[in-house]
Amino acid sequence: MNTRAKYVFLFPGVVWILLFTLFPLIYSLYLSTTDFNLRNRTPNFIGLQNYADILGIVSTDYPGGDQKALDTAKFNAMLTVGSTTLTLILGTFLAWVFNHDLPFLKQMRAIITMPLFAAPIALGYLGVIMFNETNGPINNILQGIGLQRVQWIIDPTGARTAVMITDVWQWTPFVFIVVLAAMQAIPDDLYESAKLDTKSNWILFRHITFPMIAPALGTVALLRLVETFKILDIPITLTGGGPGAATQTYSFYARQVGLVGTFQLGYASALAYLIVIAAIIVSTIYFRRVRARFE
Amino acid sequence: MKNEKKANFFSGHHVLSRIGLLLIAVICTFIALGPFAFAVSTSFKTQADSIDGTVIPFVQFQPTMINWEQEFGLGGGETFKGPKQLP
Repeated sequence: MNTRAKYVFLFPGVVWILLFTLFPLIYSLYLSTTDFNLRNRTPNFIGLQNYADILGIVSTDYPGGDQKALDTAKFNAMLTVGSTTLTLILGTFLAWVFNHDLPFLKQMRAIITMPLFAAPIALGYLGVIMFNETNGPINNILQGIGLQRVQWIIDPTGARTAVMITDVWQWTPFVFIVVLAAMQAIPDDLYESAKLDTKSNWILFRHITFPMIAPALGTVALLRLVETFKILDIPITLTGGGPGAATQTYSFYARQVGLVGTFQLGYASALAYLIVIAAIIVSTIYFRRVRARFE
Repeated sequence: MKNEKKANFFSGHHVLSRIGLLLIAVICTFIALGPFAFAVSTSFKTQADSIDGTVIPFVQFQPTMINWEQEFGLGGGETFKGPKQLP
């Protein structure tokens, strides 16, 4: 009786995982070894041909590998590294500022966490107006404080920066919250005894605050890396991948191959699997290093 | 308790650096709040006004409730036909 009830309660969870996690994973792995697209309807098994095409190993169709996959991956890597670094630095700095005894702290803290709760898609469409070149408020403010107006949408570099700014603006509060919680857990005694030796804020931060928040920073860094690794919503709404293909991220490209136009689902599955493999490699290396350091 | 905190804030020999910190905090708060405020302001504009670069209602542009009326089904015309098609 008791054992049977156990299986009844397990049933929904097992079905959920089988249906929505395991099945897509295995089916897309199968698709990635076929030339399936919605025109021919019958997937032909072609082995690792898709992967070879993308990486340009023994391919006749794409001699140097898939140049577009390479370009989007390059931009994606740039965005991931840049955005993660910026959010970590800004979030930590903000947390350090808010760790002081300032008036209206609670109100300002509540306002600063607001971007986290906005939907990225909505932010992208808001960004279309905010980054407008002739009348957008950002260009107007830039001109107001005596800087050059920037071509946010037309210029590839500008568009890439705009995507990064939006992402950083949205995710800095996340780093801020986590790091602030870690900072407030540091006992005051440590600072008091350290202040006997030094007056420099930098030395206090470097030798007390930073080591104490490092584990939290590590976790946040990994979450941010994974999050920006697969970013799609902000580029797709803010710039639509343009100008040209300058702001297409890797998952944007996989979506374009698989779900728009010719629907090359086999090829897109191979693209998607490559990013999964890359993510697994990165996170494994990362966890190994973090564990070696903090445990 | 609160008064004590404020007295603490505006006295002592770190006044300048603390005012600097407060300034940074306030600026960051405004950066976080800015786009939301702009979105609220834009929600009171017609489609034609929405990209004219103005922010303050009544002073810079004539606000309209048409979007909100549409949103809550109180009448009003659809002034903005949803997002552009995804590429």
